Amino acid sequence: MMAPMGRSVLVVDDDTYFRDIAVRILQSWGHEVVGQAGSVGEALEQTLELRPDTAVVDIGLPDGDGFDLTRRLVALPWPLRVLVISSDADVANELVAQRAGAIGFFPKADISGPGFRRALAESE
Amino acid sequence: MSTEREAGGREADAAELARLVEQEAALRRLAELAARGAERQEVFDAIVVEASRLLGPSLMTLVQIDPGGTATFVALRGSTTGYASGTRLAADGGGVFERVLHSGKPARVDYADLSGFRAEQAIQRGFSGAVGAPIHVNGRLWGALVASAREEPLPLSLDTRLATFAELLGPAIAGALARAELLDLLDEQAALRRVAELVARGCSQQELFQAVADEASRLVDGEGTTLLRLAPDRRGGLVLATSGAAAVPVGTELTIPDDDEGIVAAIIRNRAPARVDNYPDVQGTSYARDDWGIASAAGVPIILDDELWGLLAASTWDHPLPKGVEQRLQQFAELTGAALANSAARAEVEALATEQAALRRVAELVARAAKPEDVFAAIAREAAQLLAEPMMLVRIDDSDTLVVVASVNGPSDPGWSIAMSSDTLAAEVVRTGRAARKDEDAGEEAPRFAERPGASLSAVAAPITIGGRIWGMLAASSAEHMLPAGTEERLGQFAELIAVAIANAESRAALSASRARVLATADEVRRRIQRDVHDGAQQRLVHTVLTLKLAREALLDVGGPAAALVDESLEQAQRAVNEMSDIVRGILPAALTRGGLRAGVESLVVDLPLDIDLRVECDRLSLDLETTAYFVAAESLTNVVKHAHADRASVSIRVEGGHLGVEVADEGVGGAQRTGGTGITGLFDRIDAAGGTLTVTSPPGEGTTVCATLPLDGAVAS
Repeated sequence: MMAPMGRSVLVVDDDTYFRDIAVRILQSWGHEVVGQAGSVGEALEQTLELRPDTAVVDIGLPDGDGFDLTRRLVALPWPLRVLVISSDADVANELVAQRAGAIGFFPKADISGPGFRRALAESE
Repeated sequence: MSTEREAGGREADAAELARLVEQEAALRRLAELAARGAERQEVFDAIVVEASRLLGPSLMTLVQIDPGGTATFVALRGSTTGYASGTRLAADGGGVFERVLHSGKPARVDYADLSGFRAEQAIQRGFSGAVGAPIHVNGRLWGALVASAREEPLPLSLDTRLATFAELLGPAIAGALARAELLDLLDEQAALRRVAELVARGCSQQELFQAVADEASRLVDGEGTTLLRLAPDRRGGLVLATSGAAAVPVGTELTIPDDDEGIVAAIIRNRAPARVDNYPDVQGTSYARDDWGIASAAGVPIILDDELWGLLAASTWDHPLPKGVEQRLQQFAELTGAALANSAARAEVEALATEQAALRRVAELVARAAKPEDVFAAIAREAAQLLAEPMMLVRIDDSDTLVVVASVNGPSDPGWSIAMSSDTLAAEVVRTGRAARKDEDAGEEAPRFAERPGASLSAVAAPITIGGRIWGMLAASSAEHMLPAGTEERLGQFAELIAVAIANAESRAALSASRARVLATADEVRRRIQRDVHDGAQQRLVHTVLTLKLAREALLDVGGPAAALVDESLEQAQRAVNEMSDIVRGILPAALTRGGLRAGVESLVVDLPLDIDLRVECDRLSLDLETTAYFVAAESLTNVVKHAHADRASVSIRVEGGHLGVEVADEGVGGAQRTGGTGITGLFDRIDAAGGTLTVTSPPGEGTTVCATLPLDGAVAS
């Protein structure tokens, strides 16, 4: 039996309802959600401990913003892919996310769709 | 015998006649000379020439003697050996002209029989004796004609002949003198006129002083002249101007002791002309002799507004001054007084004009809505310039503490807080509400503007009263010299004028600050609404959309009315999400607060039906500044869409030299006006409150450029 091509994913969002639904979606696609974080601090802590290969990061966090977190995550000495999400679909977020080093930005309403699924699965 | 005697008598008669003829011819030549209007000196020179020819001694001297006892050699002819025309001698040496002076009659001396230094001098110079005869002019003894012998004996007949000739000289000399007097008078008038013209042309006071000293010196035969301004306490003065061989340099500050015996002390005491012919004879102290080695001086008071303002004096190093110097100086003193009154009036007008100009500059600054700090700095600068003294502008805060708000070379720097204790100058100003002065007094502690080290020698402070309350004060101080008299008045006047400007600047700043606060509050409310909506309703709706999507997927195989209802719910929810996003973004885009100015403007331009060239060169700035800049871009781009009929625009945002510049340009129809729409007016308000500037360039047909410059250090004082 082949090992699944799934990612080890850290989900970062302060909204637990959303985290639940995101975890369900990711797992349904065969990814392993290794951790969940509700703040920038928790996210950094769990990243160091769990070494996920992918992080799904909400922009609005209680102790900082997702762009900042993205910059810090991609600066770590091992490869880590970041997908930025927000309930605000503003396209400006896409540009800022890219500049911060994320591989993409997705409105939260779209994370069940094929675009997000493809971006998550893509190898670099 | 009788024939011989007769022959002898005839010879003598013939010789006498010949002498009389010669004498008559000599007198006629002199009279003609005088009648031709010859100079006085020319007549004097001719007199000794004629007398020598007539009487034939080794040396013929014409001496003018004034009743004060000074003899002046006005003309010499023959073997002079050391004596020169213009030599002045005190008539106390027991010589021949002293005898003539004392007796008013002809005199003869044989130096060998005489003692006294004049005789010794004469012998040293090789003279054996002299005969002198008085010359009377207009009934008064004017001088003497002196014939001196070296080797030749002085014939006895010489006395009579000399006396006769001298007697006849009176009218010629009187004529020459009258004319000379007239010329002198003309000279004097011309000199006075030159000075008066200078005054009329509006010369500076220093020019006037120099002209007075120069012209006075010229009129007193080039003797040194000094114009002295007396100190208010009359214990000394300042040398304002000198001319000729004046003793004391310009700028010297003299201190005159109470017991001084010189002319300055005498003029101060009596307000009348004074003269000292021979300072070495003065008993007691005399600064003129002791400090400056002056031999002789005469001076007159200069009265201005019935006050003793100063004095004009002439002085010499070695000889007595001629008589009449005071009279000549007096005319100049009077003219100087009048000119000063005139020029004091003009100086007042000039000072007023200077003050007005300074005030205007400050007012313009206020009108341009400069920051209060800048207005304060300008006020201190202008006041310092007006008075040419170090200056501080000090505000009194709520707890009665003095806060230095601006300083030009003052003892304290801006920002210093100083406690105001009761014995200080500041406290006196607050207590009296008037300008006050503190000067260092001997034996007393140096004056303090306030409770702070770094004392000044002299300080003046004037209150700035706004709305009946003392807002603060202007304080001039010097560590080097006493502030001049009248500083209180000038500073007080300027402080009064400037109060309105300060009140204006402060109320404007208060207005700006309150407007800035209102805008900042509004922006904060915007951000909060945006955050609340984003974190709350929007989040829930997005969650709903996502759940509905999952439900739709789960129902994929089922179909039927349930799937259709889920589809409809999803569509409605999706629309609600979009509409809410638009509303929130209209209030303030989340991208701005979260991602900064660049993200904010990017989120703005994406939805606009324009091709936009966007350049943003700045990092994160303060939220207020980012919000203001965002609104500049948003309002300007909205106007491009609404009014410009353009299909492209450019936005450039960059930090440069402490400012954030925002420029939005299009190539549309132009002709935009500041008052055209509420949007641009709102922008002006917003930028004004932020302490920035906004320019709109919009010539018809040539597009519109909106350019905002915002200080990085935020809004005006809050």
